[in-house]
Amino acid sequence: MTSFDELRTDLIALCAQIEEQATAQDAPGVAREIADAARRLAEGKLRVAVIGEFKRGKSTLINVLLDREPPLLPVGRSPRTRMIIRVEYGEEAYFLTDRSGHSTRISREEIGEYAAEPDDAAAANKAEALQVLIQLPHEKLRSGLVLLDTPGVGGIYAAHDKVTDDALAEADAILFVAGLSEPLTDGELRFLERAGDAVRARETRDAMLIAFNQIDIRRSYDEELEKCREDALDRTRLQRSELPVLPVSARSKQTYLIHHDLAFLEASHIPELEAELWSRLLRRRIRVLLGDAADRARQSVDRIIEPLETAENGLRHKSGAELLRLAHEIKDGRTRLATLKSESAGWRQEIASKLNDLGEKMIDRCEQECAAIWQRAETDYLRDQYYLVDPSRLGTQLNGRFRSQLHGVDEWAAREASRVQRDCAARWQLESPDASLGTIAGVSILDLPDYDVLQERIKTVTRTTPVTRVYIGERKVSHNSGKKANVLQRGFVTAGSLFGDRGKRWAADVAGVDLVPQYETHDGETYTEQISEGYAQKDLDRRRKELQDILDTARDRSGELIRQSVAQQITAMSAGIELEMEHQIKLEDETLRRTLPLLAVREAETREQADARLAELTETMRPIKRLRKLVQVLEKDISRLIADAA
Amino acid sequence: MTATLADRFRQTLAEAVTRLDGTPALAPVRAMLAERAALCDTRLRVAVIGRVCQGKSTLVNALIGQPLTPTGTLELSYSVNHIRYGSPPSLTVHYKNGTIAVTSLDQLEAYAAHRADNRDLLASIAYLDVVSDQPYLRGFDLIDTAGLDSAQGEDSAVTLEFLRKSREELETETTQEADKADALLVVMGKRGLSAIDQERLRAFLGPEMAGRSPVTTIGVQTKVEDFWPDAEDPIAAALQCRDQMLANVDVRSMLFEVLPVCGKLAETAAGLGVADVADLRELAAAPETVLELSLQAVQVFEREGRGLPLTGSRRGELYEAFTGYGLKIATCLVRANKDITAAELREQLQEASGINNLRDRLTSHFAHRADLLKTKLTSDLMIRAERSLYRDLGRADRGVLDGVTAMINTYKHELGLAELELLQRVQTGALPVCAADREEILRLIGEYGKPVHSRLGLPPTASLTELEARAAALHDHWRRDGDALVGRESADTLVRRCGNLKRDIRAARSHLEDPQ
Repeated sequence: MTSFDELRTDLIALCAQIEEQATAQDAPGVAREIADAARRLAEGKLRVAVIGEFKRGKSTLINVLLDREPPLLPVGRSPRTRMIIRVEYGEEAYFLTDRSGHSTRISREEIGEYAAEPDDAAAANKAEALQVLIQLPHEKLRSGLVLLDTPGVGGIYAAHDKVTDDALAEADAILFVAGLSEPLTDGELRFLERAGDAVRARETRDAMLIAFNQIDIRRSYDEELEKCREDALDRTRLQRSELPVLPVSARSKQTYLIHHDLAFLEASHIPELEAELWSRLLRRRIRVLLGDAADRARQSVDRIIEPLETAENGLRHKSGAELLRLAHEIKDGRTRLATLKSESAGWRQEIASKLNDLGEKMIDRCEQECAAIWQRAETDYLRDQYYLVDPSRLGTQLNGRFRSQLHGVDEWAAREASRVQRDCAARWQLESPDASLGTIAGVSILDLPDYDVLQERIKTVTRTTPVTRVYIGERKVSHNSGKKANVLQRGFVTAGSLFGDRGKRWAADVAGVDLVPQYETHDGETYTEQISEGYAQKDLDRRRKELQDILDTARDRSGELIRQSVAQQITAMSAGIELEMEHQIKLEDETLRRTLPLLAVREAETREQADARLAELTETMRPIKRLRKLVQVLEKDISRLIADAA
Repeated sequence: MTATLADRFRQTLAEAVTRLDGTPALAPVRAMLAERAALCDTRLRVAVIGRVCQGKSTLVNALIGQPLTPTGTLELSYSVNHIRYGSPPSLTVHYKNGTIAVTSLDQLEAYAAHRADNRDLLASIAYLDVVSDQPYLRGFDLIDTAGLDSAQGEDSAVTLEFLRKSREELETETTQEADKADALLVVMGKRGLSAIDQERLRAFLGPEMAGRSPVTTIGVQTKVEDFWPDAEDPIAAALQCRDQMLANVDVRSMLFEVLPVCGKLAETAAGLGVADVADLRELAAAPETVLELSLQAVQVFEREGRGLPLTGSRRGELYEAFTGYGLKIATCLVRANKDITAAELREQLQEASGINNLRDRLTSHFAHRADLLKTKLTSDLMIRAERSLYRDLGRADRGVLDGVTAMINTYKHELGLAELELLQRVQTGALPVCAADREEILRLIGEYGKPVHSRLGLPPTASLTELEARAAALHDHWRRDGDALVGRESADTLVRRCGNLKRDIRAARSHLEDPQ
């Protein structure tokens, strides 16, 4: 089977050949277009955020996935990764990027220094958000895979969660790291849910994978694995097949890398994880990256060959009248394009009005989606102590939800806009283009002030222990009188009891004594106890009210925010579509311009001359036709790859 | 010789209880003080709390040196166990309906572990009273609580349902038990307390941690052996993790100290038998490099065909019991001393696991200070009780309560309690001092040993003259510079201690010079 990377390499090489032909055939527009497509393919990225609580072994996992020994990323016993570390393909180099986007080259040894946690937690939380960029010439990264190593979540450092949130915002897929050592905590599960929302795991496929790490410490871990799986599925509401949980040992793979002992590689199950991870990631981007470039390659080849084929057809007709007819047609075409260029107001108007409609619909949809979230905030979140106790959780939760919902609207709008673009192109007999369009998901809807975390109240209550009954012995009652046994009877029984319980019972029987068990009843004791009364209702109420006010204000403001953002996006989309239309007009023009001289064959020319010309054309077309064949083969390979991966 | 602190305090409590007779509004205070008075004579009670699945039961077993409570990765020990020293060993089951059944300790599992057939039985139990004759329990009683369930969410709900207990009931049970305890052992994973754990612990300790002070709260990192082989020395790795955690002021204000323990290794080591030693000997005969490499993953270690002694499944069993690090240590010990006995190996492995250190700390810190800690806890509880009641009291009742509070409060000025206060302030970082001063303060207040020479930082062989000179120098130092270094109150405590030491040395000298 041909791999993604091979196909991609092939496709990039093919694009280069197509570009060469386009230049040779005097089609600079096509040449530029195919060069762009090749560049996009070469640069195409798939960002995978590696996420999990601290000490689950995230950094080790990345190290072994990249076969790095000695380790590339700082691995330590205390939470190590303070910032996002981005690993991508390139000549080996290390950079430090600050908030303003300024990059400084650093040495490999310095990574640990920058990415490690300062000893003082307060300083850590204040530390500036930085990113480390690592470029490696690693085969696995060639396909445009970018790994984002994140700080842990739910750990000692609050700042970590925030940094990880940033990574989530740009991630295309999630690799969540759990472990055998300790079960997933509530904090981790909540984060998993948020991560799922961020990559829209429920609407798209192959978005998440859980690595169940640290299996090297226990022989059997089925129970824990199953529990991890169930917890994760419950929380994310995903199906079993959508969220694989794979048991691995990053450490065993590391041991293998050091000692080259294959038993460790086998025990690590990392190859299985890689297979699953890569195949999922592949599928997730195959369609987009390869599919797009192959389409473009086919279109370009068609464009290059079109004038040549037109001329060939003309020449095959003996009379020459066909040639003339074609020449007329081409001239008409050029006139049509000239009109389209000079009188652009018409189609521009059409695009603008359609996009305006789209903008209105977007606002409607956004408002609908947001209304549901506001509703949920009011009915659920504001009633949930969890959020009231620490409102920053509310902020994260709500903004996360807004982000994912608005992202959905974005995708829909982008599809709608391309439809507008395609319709418009068809109406004016232009090739169908595509364009990348902006997003609104970056809008921050809710901005909460800092709140203190509420504390629970403790109450003293007085309780009484239950009455207890303790066996204290037996009373000896004379069988006949029903009263206390006399001295003789008692003595006889006592003597009998020297022979054990049976002796006693025998003696009692003989002496006519009933043994009545006696109990002592102890009254309950009064004691005090401290019980948590939970949080003070009035504190919770007050906070709920405050938050309600803030939410109300934010809700009022959000409509305006969304409107502004949508307006900006619509303007950007209009500009994009217009640009693309102009580009298409230019390309079409180029094709027609190239065809015309090819057809400029006089009637007077002899059959021999025509035949010679035909032979010349066939010769010119041979390499281009070969390229067309190659594109077809690649397209088949790509569909097979998609089918295989699914 | 004056009466001991415990004797005097017991008397004071008795008086206080009598004074509170006949004031119904103050009944809760009276009940509290009566309970505290009753507890004066008992051993120090240490409650073990912690999130489930953090190795709490394993730790309890390891501490006792005998497998008492059921362990298991997903096993939640939802019954509360009181474990105390005594002979002969027995098990008393206290049912919720108030009845009591005495049975043998072998029956423990039936009353404490989930099985298919004991649901109703478990649900009806209030708590188990375990009497064990393990010598490690001599210093204190242990209360193994149900667990501070913070983050387990739904899965423990299943178990709760199984036991027909509500989450609140469980929490209340744990709180109740812990509240009756004199000290807390907070069990955490090897990574330390997560943010949620911290939040949970803080909530558990209560507002302003009334009734609880860090002096009575020790943290234990369990599962420390899992740091190996990433770290050559897992205990050192755990300490590093701990220091990072303690850099957080919030955490330091809750925990007196945190000690790392390889729980699983300690538990297994305590029950080490002759057959185990034989197997370990066979293992140790394998080439060290081959063995140590294979130990890095159980899946590799139990594989056949790697030239390792014993059968694969036996190796797997050993790994589960000892952990990889434990096997490494054990085989090293066996290799170093071929004739090692089971008893020796048991002792050395427990030492390596960190459990001995924990036991020592519990003894030196908790058991040796039992009276002080109990006194302190009572006075803290008094403050809490006063705070909650005072506002609703009439004038007469207030007078009585003030009187009683004053009686209890006089103990705060006892040197021992003042030292405890100072210890707490130093340990939690509330009193910032340089490392050298810190050491000296801890030495003086007896944290490193009660004998005079230990407090003065001199060897046991130091002469009386040397001791006297040192005590005088320290006395002068703290009297002169103390206020500036540690503040008036703390300086007073240290000066008083130095004065006491001087007096003791003088007394010793005169006794030696004139034995009559």
